[in-house]
Amino acid sequence: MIYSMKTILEESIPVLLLAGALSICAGLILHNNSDLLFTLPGILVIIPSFNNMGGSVTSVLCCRLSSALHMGMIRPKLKKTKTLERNIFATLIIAIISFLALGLAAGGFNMILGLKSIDILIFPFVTLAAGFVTVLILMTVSVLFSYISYSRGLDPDNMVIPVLTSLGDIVGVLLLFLILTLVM
Amino acid sequence: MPVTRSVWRIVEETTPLVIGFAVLELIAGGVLGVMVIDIELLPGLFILIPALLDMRGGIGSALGARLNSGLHLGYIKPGKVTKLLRTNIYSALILSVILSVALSIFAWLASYLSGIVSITFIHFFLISIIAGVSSGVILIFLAIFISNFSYEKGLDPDDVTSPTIGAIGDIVTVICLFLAVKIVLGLGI
Repeated sequence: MIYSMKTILEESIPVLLLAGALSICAGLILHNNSDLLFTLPGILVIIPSFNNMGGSVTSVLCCRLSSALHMGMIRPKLKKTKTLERNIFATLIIAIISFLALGLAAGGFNMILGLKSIDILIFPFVTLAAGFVTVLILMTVSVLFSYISYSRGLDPDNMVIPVLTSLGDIVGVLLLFLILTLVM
Repeated sequence: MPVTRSVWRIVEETTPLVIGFAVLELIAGGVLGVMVIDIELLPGLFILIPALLDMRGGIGSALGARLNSGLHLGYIKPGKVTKLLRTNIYSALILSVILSVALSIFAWLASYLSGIVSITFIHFFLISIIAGVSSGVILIFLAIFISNFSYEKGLDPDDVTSPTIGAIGDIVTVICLFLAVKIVLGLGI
């Protein structure tokens, strides 16, 4: 794979611009909740990890699905198959463990830094609830996108992951603030 | 075949990595939490932050992935400056500049269209360019180092290289953002 500078730029710029525009929407949601973030900066601490976690958990699913599609182990039809079921189940378990762990680690980290945050006992459940719903939504998008892009002859790896990352930001912060307003 | 593995194999393999990188990224979040006093002085800056972080991940991880394929196919030799390595470095630099400018335009436009009282375009532009380009330069060297290192150690590029560049990239970007904010506040414009 020898890439020329022209190919690299031509292939990257449109996807990065689209992803950037989507991430700006996530930024607008953050801005709308500025007051909460200024009074409880401990919530800001989890934003980078939280955003990437939803994206990375579902990107892994997307990679496995696209390999399976390429190798012909699953057909690009929305039917229940064992492989698909197994992968979805595994993704959900990974999400539950990871988001609980993130809330715990962030609670401890905030105590070390002395940053004001919500109760350390509630934090893991906030990240879990917001993260789990985010993953459910992203997973549906991931499966649909993998299938659609595969049946149209596009490589899912190049298309789905950047879109998932930015979409994950929007859905993630939206749900995080929704759950926060519910528990506070 | 990874896809036919049992549920527990998948969970066992993926979970430690996901948690490990998330904990590493708490450092980036910690820097954001500490600089919240400065962010308060620059209303609207939040609009730019997720986009700036994703851009770095996007450019850095893609560079890392290309360097990895280059190393495996023998077009790039560890520790040598080849033509392909130069092409990749220049492309990543150009992408950093174009995207930094584009994101500052997007952020200003978004705040203008939604009627948010925010910093001016010049502020968005300076912060985005200073943070984006300085973190871009650091990340290029980091991507070269990490891809060489993981190639020599035989680590899986998809599982290890890209997330590592992504996580360290976030930390570097937030620190550069912090410096950019300090510079802009120091200029007093």
